[in-house]
Amino acid sequence: MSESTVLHQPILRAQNVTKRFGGLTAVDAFSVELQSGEIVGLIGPNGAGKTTVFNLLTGVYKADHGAITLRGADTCWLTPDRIAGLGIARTFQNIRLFKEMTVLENVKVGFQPVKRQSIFGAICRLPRCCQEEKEIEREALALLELMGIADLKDARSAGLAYGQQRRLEIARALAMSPKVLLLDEPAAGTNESESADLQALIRRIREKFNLTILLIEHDMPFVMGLVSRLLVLDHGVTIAEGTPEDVRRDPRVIEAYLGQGAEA
Amino acid sequence: MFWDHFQFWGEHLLLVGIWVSLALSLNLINGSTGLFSLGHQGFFGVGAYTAAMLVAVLPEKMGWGAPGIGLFLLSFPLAMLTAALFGLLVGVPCLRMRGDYLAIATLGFGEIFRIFAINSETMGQSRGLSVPNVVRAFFLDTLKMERDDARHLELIFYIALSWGLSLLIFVCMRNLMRSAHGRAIMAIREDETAAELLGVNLTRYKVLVFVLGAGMAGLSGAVYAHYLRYVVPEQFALMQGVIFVVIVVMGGMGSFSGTVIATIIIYFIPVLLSFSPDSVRVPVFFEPGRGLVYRSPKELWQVIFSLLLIGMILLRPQGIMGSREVTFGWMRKRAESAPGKGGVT
Amino acid sequence: MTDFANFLLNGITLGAIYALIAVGYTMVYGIIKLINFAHGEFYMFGAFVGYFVLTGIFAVPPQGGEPGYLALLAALLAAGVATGLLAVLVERLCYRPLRNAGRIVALLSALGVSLFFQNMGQQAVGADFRKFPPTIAETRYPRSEVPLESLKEGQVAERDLRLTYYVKAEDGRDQQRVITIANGGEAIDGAQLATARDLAASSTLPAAVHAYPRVTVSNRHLLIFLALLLVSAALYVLVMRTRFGRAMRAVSVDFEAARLMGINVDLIVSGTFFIGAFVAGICGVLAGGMTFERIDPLMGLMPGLKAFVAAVLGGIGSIPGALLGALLLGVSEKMVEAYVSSGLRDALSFGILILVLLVKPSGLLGRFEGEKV
Repeated sequence: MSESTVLHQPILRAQNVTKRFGGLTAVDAFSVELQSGEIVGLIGPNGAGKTTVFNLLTGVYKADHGAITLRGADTCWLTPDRIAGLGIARTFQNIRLFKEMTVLENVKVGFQPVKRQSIFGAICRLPRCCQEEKEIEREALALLELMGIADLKDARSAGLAYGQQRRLEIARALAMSPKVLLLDEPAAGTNESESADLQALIRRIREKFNLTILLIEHDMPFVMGLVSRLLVLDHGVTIAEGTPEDVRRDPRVIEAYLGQGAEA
Repeated sequence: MFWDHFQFWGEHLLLVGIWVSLALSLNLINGSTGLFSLGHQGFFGVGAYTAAMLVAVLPEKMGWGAPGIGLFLLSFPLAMLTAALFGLLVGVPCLRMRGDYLAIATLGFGEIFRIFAINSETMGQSRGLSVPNVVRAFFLDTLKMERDDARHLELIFYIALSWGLSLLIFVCMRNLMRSAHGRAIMAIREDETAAELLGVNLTRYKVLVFVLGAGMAGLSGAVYAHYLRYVVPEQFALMQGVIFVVIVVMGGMGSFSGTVIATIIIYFIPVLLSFSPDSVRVPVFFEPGRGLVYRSPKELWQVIFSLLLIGMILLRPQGIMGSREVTFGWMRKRAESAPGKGGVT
Repeated sequence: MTDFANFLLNGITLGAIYALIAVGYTMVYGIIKLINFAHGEFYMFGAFVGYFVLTGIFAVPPQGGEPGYLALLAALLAAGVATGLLAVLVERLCYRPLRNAGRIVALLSALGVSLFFQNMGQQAVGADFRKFPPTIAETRYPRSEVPLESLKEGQVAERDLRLTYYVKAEDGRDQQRVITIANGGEAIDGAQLATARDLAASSTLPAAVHAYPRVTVSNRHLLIFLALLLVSAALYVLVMRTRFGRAMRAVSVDFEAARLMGINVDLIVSGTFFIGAFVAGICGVLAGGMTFERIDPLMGLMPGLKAFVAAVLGGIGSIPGALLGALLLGVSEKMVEAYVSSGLRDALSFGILILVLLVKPSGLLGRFEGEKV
């Protein structure tokens, strides 16, 4: 693929994606195009269907209608692990680390899509397999270093503080060498200075790994300072889309989202 | 004198070896992957019956005369392959099920195997099959050994075989679990959905684990059938499987060293109880019209076993070792941090 | 055709037995999502309580006479209550501490409890079969009385003719015996008729000859049907019409929400265990004791597993599903036994189990539970 096609073709595209649970339409005709290198925000009140969108993009749910293409490939019939292999990684709103494993082991699990060793090689400890294990270890440590939690590498992941767990989830996602990173409320539970650090960190990993990022967030100043575009979801429907400035002034957004936020 | 003791303790040593190998393969399925199988005795049985039929039924049917050492050696890979094939057959459909349903479905498989064996003419029905002693015959006829020497060497051979098998399985499992594949397997145990979103192919790994575990159980079964020289369906009843499930839970899900420790404990408790003098009697029940019913401790082993299971589940569900392993580093760390409890909060 | 009708009838009886055990399984699963492996042992426990009540309190030796319905009622009540209390105790000690520990851990505990009762039972009362006392005389219906004097040698009997007579049992009570004079369609044998006359003359209670059609049902089986009918009706009223039932349904939908709504969840769980085990205990006396006539500490294992299969077949968690699944399973088992092979009967149930879990894990009448991400 030449550089120009990469620029013009969206790296991730969802078209009219609809998902119903029984009588409830959780996501209604959702469309998005992510260009390579963008950071896009997905906001909306609780229950608007944001996490459902993530579940659809990563293949946890299958869409009732519509199409999703990731780097030109239709993901409709793929299982989540295949979709992950195509280069999409995510974090979770309710953190889903492997609690019994250490911090380092958690990151190492992330190397699944890139590992090359065979099962036979692993059982017999063939030299090539050992070599790869060493590389995985080195890269995992580098990622922990980047996230600022390298000194905790041997701690059990369940014992980490909330913010550290979120960073560990990002490190684990980065281990997959993704092209697209979906972050589900990365700033939840962080204070102001931490969230400023996190903003810088997200920009840094975008540069370093050449990532395209879609993020769900409730913390408005955090999102506004980070993204180039925003999508606003309410009751599964995309009610606004545009730059942070446009969205901020949109009356429907003020009514649906900020209005409700002010009440709560 | 020495050989008498050796015969007694050697046999226990050998059976523990077989138990350890079987517990290790179950630990891969139940412990490391968190697939809760209650049908492992079935795979063990498939291996045992395959080996038994190969040396007991096949030569007779084909008119080959007494089975030779070649057939004996062939029976091990064949038992492993047959059991692995059954693992595949059971695994592919069952692995889509949720935890407790999988347990019940595998239990169903184990029972179907046993019922099939009871009803099958070729498998000897409930009488089972008796297996010719190929190793002894080889020592006596081919190597021209003395009777006693052959007997002792046979036992030594089987001890080496069972413990060699255990060691092999132990090393293979440890290597596997320390690799990227092993981490995928552990990730499935911890959180299936998260694992899948990290690119772990759930079906592939679950089937792999099931096939590997079943194949290894088949190998243990072959050793068992050859040594005991008979197979009967009751050896592969649900209760037998439960013993190994308890061992895996007791050792700590996924801890291979814990499994070995737990196997030895569970194996030797009844052996030790059997030494209790006959004068020790425990009242267990009052029956109207008959008065108190007394039992000796060795008769109460299975009662103690079930209480042990319940107590362990209630008091220490993570088992002896949790999912850790006994390593030299671990023991050193434990010795250092003994006074206070370490760890990050 | 008559064979088929008999197999069907036996199948329905077996199904009714499974149903009485399966309701407890399904209720407990519905509420705390636990596969209570020990439920089959409650059935066994009930049978033994009934046995000790009859042999201890009513002093009926296993080969003795028939104390009648009052003794049976006492045995049933005692079995139900004792088993129910045992189940409450088991839940309190072995399941409640594990409520948040995950299904597999609780399943293991249930497995342990089941093994405990099996093994403890074998040590306490011995592993051998015991004959259950004949509590009520067995009578088969429909039947019509034929005067003994009217029967003549060589006459062709239209229906099965049997003589019911009585002898003094070892405990001094009258015990009923039955001999066949002639089967339907056969000529009456002179010697057999003479024997029957002698037995009738020496009978301690008035003897009688009855004509039976080819398809009959025993009063013991009728008792099982009656129990199933009463249990179904009672459960329907309990679940749909009472406060307790409403609370049960709430707990089964969402345990935590029910607790927050002020429902005493522990009480509901205990109550559910009590009811399920009560029914299983009664079934132990009626089925294990009265119908199969032999009891032993392992008698709960197979019926328990089968009842579980029935519950899964019908949709675990659903009471009507358990009844439907149990009847289907009972009938198909008897059909396989009759037309295929009696050895494969048990394999059939496990085959059905695996098939249902694969194709429709929610069963015939169950709801599907999805997983939350």
